[in-house]
Order: sequence, then C-alpha cells, then structure tokens
Amino acid sequence: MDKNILQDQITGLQAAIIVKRRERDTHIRLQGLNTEAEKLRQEALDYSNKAEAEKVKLSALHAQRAQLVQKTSSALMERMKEVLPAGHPDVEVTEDGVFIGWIRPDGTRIAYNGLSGGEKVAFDAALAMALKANVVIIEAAEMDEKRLSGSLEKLGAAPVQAIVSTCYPPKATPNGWKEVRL
Amino acid sequence: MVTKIKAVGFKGWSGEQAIGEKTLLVGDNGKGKSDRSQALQLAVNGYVIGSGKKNEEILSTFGEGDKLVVGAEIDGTLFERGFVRASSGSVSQGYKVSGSKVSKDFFNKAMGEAGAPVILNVAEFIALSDQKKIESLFTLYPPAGNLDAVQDQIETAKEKINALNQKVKSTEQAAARIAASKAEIKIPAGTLAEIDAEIAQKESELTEARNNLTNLKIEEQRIESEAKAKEEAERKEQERLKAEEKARKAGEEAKAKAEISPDPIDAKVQQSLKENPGEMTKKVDAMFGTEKALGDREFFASASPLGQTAQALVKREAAASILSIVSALTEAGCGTCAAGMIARRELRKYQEVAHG
Repeated sequence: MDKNILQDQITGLQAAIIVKRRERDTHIRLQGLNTEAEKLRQEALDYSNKAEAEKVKLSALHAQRAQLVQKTSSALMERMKEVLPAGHPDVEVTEDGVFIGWIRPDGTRIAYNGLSGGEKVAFDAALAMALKANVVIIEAAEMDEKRLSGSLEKLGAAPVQAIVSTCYPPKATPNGWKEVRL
Repeated sequence: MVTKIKAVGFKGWSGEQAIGEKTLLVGDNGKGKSDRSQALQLAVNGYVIGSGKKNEEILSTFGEGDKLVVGAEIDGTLFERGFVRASSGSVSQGYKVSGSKVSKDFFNKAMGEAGAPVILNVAEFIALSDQKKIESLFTLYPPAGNLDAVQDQIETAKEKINALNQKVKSTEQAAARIAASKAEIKIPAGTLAEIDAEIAQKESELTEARNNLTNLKIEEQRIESEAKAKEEAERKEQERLKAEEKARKAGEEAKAKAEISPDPIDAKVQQSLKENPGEMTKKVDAMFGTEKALGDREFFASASPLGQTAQALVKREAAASILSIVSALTEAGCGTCAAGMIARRELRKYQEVAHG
C-alpha cells in the first residue's frame, strides 16, 4: 500500500479518534450531570419526605395543643351558658387566634361581629361573666322581651351581680330581681 | 357586692341609687338608667366603657361645670372619685374612702380588699389582638397541660418544616440548573459503550496502519539499501573492469614496447631505478639472484645470442616491469583479476627460469 495513503489513513483515524473521544467526554459529562440530577432529585425527595413527616408531627402537636386548649374553651363556654338566654356559645382557641361566636337556636353559627344588637347585648353579658366579671351591666334597650326574659332568668341564677336597664320590663319580674322604677 | 351608686353632677343626676344583687332599672328614655350604670362604672373602673379615660375627657363628657363626683358603696364602704377643674383649666382626680380623702393607691388597695367589683368591657376584650385574647383566656381558664412546651415543639416543628421546604426548593433549583446545562449539550449519537467500541476499533485500525507504515518504511529502506549495494557492486565492477582494461592495455603497451624497443625497461622502471635503484635491484635480486650469480647459470650461457650477463639483465628488467605492473594492479584493487593473474603468471616464468 502506498505510504501516503497509509499516512492519510493514520491522520484520518487520529482525527476520528479525537472526535470520538470528545463524544465520549460529552457522554461522560452527561452521565455526571444525570447522576448529579438524580442525586439532587433524591435529596429533594428525602427533604420532602422529612418535611411531610414533620408535618405529621406538627399536626399531632396541633391536635395535642387543641386538646390542651379545649379545656379553656370548654370552661369558657360552660360559664357563658349560664347566662346566654338561648343557643350555645362557640369559642375556639387555635394557634392562629380565637373565634368567638354564637350557635343560634336554629343551629346557625355566627361570629361575634355578626350578631344583632339584641344578640350582642345578651352575648356580652354572658361573655363578661365568663371573663370573671362579678358585676354585669346590661343596657337592654335593644333586647326583645323574650330575649330579655331569658337573660334575666339566666342571670338570676348566675353567681354575679347584675344591673339591667330597660324601658320595657317583662310582664312578670323574674324571681330574685329587684325592680327599680325611675 | 355593690349596694349603692352615688353621683354629684353626673350628666345632670345627683343622688344615690340603692341596688341589690339583681337589679332591674326600669324607666322611659331620659330617666337616668344609663346614668346610674355609667356612674357605677366610673366609680369602680375610673372610666366609662366606650368613653375617654383622661380626666379632662371624663369631666367634659359626664360632668356639669367644674366638678363631678361618683361613688360606689361596696359592702358598706363608700368609695368616691372626684373630678375637679382648677383655675388653670386642668382637671384633677381625688379619692375618698368612707368620706376621707385618700391616695389613689390606698383607694385601689382598699377597694380590692373590699371585694372590688369587676365590671368588664366586653367590647375592649373583643378588640384585643388574638394573642392578648388567648393570654387573657388562659389566665382565666388555664389549659389542661403544659401548653408552652407543646407550643415550643410546634414552633420547632414549623422551623424544621420551613428549613426542609427551603432545602427542597434550593435542591430543586439546583436540579433545574443541571437540567438547563444538559439542555445546552448536544448529545452525540450512540451510547457510551458504542462509542468506546468505535474508539477501540479505530485505535486498532490506527495501530495496524502504523505497523503497516513502519513495515513499508523498513521494506523501502531494505530495497534502497539493496539498490545502493547493487550500485556499489556495479560501480566496483566497473572500476575493476576499468582496472583490468588499464592493466591489459598496460601489458599490451609493455609488450609492444618490449617488442619494438631493444630496451625492455620502461620509463617508469627506469625512473624507479633512477630514483631508487637499490629497492628495485633488491626485489629483482631476490627473485633472480645477483648479476654475478646469473652469470654462472648455464641457461643463459646457451640460449641467448647476447652475452650471458646481458641476457640476464634483460630478463631481470622484464621481470621488474612485470612486477611493476603487478604492483600497479594490486594497488588498483585488481590483484586477483585476469590481468593481474596473467601478469603474475608471466612473472613466475621468469622466476622459474631464474631458479632453473
């Protein structure tokens, strides 16, 4: 075979090998990137799993906290029930805040700020007593007779001094109440 | 328990109102129901719910003129607060317990000891922040366990979750950067194994090609070497032939000279004899003996028309000539060529003749 042909063949093979080695390097780099990406994906998954595990723990802690706090809410509501003329107090103490509302006799749940004027007067009296007030003052102008009667009845039995002002007294003064005509 | 409410100049009401544990104040608007309850709030709390708490505000809102007094009788003890505007315009607050002026601290302490009434402003409680509400509620109704410890654990768990989420985010970002890097790379055709196989094959081919080239070069060198050797041999053969030709011509010339000229000694020999007669004479003498010895030989005495000594001299000179030719041929590298052999054969004849 001609020497020049052989030399050309060698040169061509050397060039082809260089190209192939570059391709090989590229493959190896890609493999490295794939490995690194997989490692990162696995890390992210591990972190995510750990975060989920912590969320489960956090959820349990929230439940534990809610259980501990339930005593506070329950005690407060029990105290309010002593004065609230109808329905049920609805107090929920969470980590984020306090919900205070009223579950009306018809079952609807309403937040404090949504209460009507008459409801608010009755609710305030109950809440004030639950907050350890020993003197409860009610301006009953906005209370209808039914709600007023209910409040008077409840307050009459509650361990609290009560002063109720009204333009329209109930037909019959509840037991234990002293009516003062002005 | 509050048993009496007292006021002087409170929104136009001055007087006392006895109350019991459960009191229902009934009256038309403007009869003073709210005055009594507000006077009680002011006497107990020092302010009226929903109104300002500064002395000036209190006096200007609820008082008439420059003086206002409110009081609450608690279990038989009268506690009074008085608001008075001085000539300078400022309003001061004074305290009395059972009619005696006292300090604010004494007033508060005495009221506390008397079983201070707690009149709460629910609106104020509602307006508190959630945290304050919670603190207030927990003070009144403590939780069932160590809430602080649980709260600390909650905070720790939240921090862990945040940290882990941050790690997830940063790790995903790193993965995204790698994905972007990958996207910029042009992926070569074939797998790594295939490329490795191609490289191995091409390296094998390269090795083979290099070996072929090396062998080819060796073969070329061998051929070139042989060509040179051949050329050298041919050149030497040419030289040998030339030397033979030269020797032959020299022989012929010598023979011709010997035939033509009675003097067989050529110019070279003569020159040699002239320049170094002793050396040539010694060589000839070694072959033929001395002139004196030659003169005694019968051969020379019987065969030549010349005198014996003259014949011997002629033959000796002929031998010297041939010896000179042999020497020339030997120096020319033609010692074993045909011309040299002929010359040496001729020389041996004279030697044989000389030695009988």
